[in-house]
Amino acid sequence: MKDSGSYQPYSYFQLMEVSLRELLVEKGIVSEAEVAATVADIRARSPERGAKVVARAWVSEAFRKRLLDNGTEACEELGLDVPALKLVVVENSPDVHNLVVCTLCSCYPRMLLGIPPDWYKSRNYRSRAVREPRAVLSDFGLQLDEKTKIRVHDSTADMRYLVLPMRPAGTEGWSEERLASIVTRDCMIGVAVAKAS
Amino acid sequence: MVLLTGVKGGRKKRMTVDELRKNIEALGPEAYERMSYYERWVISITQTMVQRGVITTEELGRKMAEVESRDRSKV
Amino acid sequence: MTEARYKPGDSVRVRRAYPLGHIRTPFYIRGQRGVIERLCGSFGNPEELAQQRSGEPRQPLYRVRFRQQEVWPDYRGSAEDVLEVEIFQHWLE
Repeated sequence: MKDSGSYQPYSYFQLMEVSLRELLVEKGIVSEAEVAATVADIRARSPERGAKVVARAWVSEAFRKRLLDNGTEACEELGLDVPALKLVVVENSPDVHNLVVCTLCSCYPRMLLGIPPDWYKSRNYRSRAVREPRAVLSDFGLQLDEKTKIRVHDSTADMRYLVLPMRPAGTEGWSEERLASIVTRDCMIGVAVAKAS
Repeated sequence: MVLLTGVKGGRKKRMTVDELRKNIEALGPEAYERMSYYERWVISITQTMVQRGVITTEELGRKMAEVESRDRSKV
Repeated sequence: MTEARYKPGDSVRVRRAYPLGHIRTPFYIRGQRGVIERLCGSFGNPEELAQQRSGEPRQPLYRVRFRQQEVWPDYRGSAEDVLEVEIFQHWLE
């Protein structure tokens, strides 16, 4: 997207992108309306959607079970439009901490978390998360107990993983909305845990 | 980049994510050093469209020249 | 659709093969031994789909669990730490 403040000529890649889009619209393969709708959809996706799912699982034991059993259906139950998402939710516990990565590219449940952060797409994260997860978590400031087992998920196929973090102490009686506000994207990837502050 | 993803979202299935990934992998390992995530995707989507015969390289070249001269005339 | 040969709990090994083309079996896991955690379902073969072919017949896809200490010779962490990867049946033996 171009900065409206100062004029920057299109880079080679921007030229290619704009040209491709115009060609496809000219050929009737997509319409401007379709492009705009998809762009709006993408913009609407943010980690708030994932946070809503986590918060519901924290307050409803029955929903939590359904979520772990079939992630996609549980999201649809909440009115989240997640076509083609094959969601698998993995739950953190005092014994097990889950971490998600896509070593081959940067697969990620975009419909629930929005656009992945640059570090998630980096070669650094993608290679180290499988090989030395504890060191990676430590880089993010997360120290796990020695006795906690780490389960790393490499999303090599169609399934997308979402970590269900543990509900922190000090949140008793909170509303779902307030609970959702402490669920960050990073704790749904597994590089952080949810905190009551 | 977001505009291009909008194109990917078109109704008719003009490409699979597998073809797109293959085309990124075909850029070679140096691509990860030289190119940004966005740039790799632009190339991949365009290459896939060319492979599928949706656009030709000539059409692309002409359109890029047209867009460039339009862009330059904004100065 | 190809029939599923494995079930949860089965010991499997990932084939040590290095063909060209688009492959979704990571290099680091080829040749490694693991256990089937679950059958994820059957999906079009991405290796074929990448070449503009149909990807049929659909192939069973499994989530396979590996022990980190077995995958990485210098792994420092709990002996219980695991790595789970989705692998297509034709890559398992």
